[in-house]
Amino acid sequence: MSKRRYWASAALAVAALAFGQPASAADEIAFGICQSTSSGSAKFATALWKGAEIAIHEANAAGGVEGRKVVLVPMDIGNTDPAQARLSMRKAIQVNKIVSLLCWGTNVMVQNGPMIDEEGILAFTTAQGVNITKKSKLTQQLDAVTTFYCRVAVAWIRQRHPEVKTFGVLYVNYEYGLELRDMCEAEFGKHGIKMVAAEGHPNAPPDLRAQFTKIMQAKPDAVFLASIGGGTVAQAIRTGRELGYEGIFMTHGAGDIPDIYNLKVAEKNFFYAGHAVPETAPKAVFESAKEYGGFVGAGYDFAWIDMMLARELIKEGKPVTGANMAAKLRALGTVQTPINKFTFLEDGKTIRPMAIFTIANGEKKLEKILGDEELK
Amino acid sequence: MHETILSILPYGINGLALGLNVAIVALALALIWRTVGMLDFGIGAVYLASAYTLWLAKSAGLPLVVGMAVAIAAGVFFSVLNYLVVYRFFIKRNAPLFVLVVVSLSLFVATENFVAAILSAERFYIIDSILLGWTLLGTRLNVAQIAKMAISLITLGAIAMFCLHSRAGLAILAVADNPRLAQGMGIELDRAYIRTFAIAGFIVSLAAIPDVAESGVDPYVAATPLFLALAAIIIGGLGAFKNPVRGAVMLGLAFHLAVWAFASRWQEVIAYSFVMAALIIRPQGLFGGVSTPTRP
Repeated sequence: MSKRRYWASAALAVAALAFGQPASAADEIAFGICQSTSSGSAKFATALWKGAEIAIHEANAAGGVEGRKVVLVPMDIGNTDPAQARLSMRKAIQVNKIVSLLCWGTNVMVQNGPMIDEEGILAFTTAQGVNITKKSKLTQQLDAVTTFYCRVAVAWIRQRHPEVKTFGVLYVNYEYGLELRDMCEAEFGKHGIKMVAAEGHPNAPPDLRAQFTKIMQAKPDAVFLASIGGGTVAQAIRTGRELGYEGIFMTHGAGDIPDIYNLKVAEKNFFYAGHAVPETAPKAVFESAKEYGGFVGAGYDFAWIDMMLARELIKEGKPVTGANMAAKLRALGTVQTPINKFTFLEDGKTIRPMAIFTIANGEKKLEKILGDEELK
Repeated sequence: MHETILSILPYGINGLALGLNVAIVALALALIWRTVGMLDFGIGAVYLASAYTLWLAKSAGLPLVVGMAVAIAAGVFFSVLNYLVVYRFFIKRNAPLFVLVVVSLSLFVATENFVAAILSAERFYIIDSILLGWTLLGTRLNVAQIAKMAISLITLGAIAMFCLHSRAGLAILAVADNPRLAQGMGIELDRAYIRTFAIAGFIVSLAAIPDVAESGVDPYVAATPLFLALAAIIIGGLGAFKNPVRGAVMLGLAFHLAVWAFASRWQEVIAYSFVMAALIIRPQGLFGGVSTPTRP
């Protein structure tokens, strides 16, 4: 190989690496999904990807969306970093030509809301912050907001553990954890359950013994874990039990990962509110959710809804753009996927089924599915 | 007064336990820094190698003791491998400190993500129940915490014994003090470095094993002990091997007493303000000796 050809090949290889995947071909439809390397997010990022992959493989195997192939584009958001997310999203929009994306992180979504509108992309989010959809007209919740999680938790407590009169909160010390703490204080307070302790922790705490020692001094009957997920929820349960806490632990979707299913000490006095993947769901999704957690269902729903919107637009002869998809979604209002029934509201909020799970024999155990009527 | 002392005790005990835990990794960092003259973030990769080996051994049905021995061997092997395959190339070319920092950090991050890619980011547990423990001064210490405290102190003593009373240890000390002179006296630098990485790998494995027994393993478990250990050697200084241990204990106490004294959301603010204050008062570390070692 001549020197010139060598350098030309090297430049091409570098360019290929720099741009990751090639831009989508004109007849392809591309959707983006955030991916992360941070300890908490990496776990449900994988689950979201797996779910979306199942939906897209099914569709592409059947000839694509009205003959157009669908591709998934990963967007690296580092340690749930809004600036890193902005770079990755812009690249996915401008190079890979995605028309819709799925991402999380209250800070990530709030700070990048204006960019999403500017670029005309339909964004779905599994972040639960109540203010996210105020920052972007084209962003739609795919998950329930913090208020709902607290409401569902307190409803279950009232039903199954009426003896609970006080509770504490262990929260991750940033916007999302603080919001969950405040929302739960309000929602539990409506039922006369008083918050007697609230202790924060950093994203990756060295241990939680000091926080838990302080929470236990307030003698709460239950503790809500408002952590991001990953190892922290497991670490908190284990620490509490090690220190002799015998009350009830509860958490939100952060508990819906295999780390928790594997945790023996979570089999007693623990529940979480999360996404239901019923047995009627496609078999691949049901099986994958056992391995990767309930966010597999969210990934599947995201891709399924996106492809349904694209199909409708193509049939109507309209271009498949984010803005058109958002308009179509809100015009439809209610969407029934093979897994869940969603009601997408004009303001970006969403009413979706939720479920209460406990842990038994190394697996999550579905206790109750709460449909939109109950959640209203 | 009596009540205040009683309320502070659980935080003090747990802070001491955290500090002595951090101290084990800090000792390994300090050993490599003093001898080789680099900040080896790659020991995070060694920690992972040891942790996952223990989990794999347990999954394969090996007795826990055998699993621990294999995990230690894996830690030593990967630490030496890091030196031979990666660092030696840069050290021989006299790469500046920041290059070695970037290389070792890259090695660690790449290993984390490699493990996540091939095994999943899931957390696996070695001992899947509450560990045996005892109540002491208002808190409960489990067997893993007690083991880590003991390992920390024993390791410190063992390093001192090894360095002062064995030929290999004396050679390492000579290289740490003056590599050029050591070379002139016929000490092979390469061999001294290999031994240093082997010992560091051994120490890191001793930290990883009880940690993993207590909290399980996932690709990200090494980051927190590694970065706390880095803070500990900066606080304590590197004038003597006991300094990182002192720094780690102070850091552990700062983390826990901050929660006792203030709301826990201030924990990191207080702890890292303490690091900055320590460096303002004594830029060379509270007990002295943070300076760049020379390489020939």
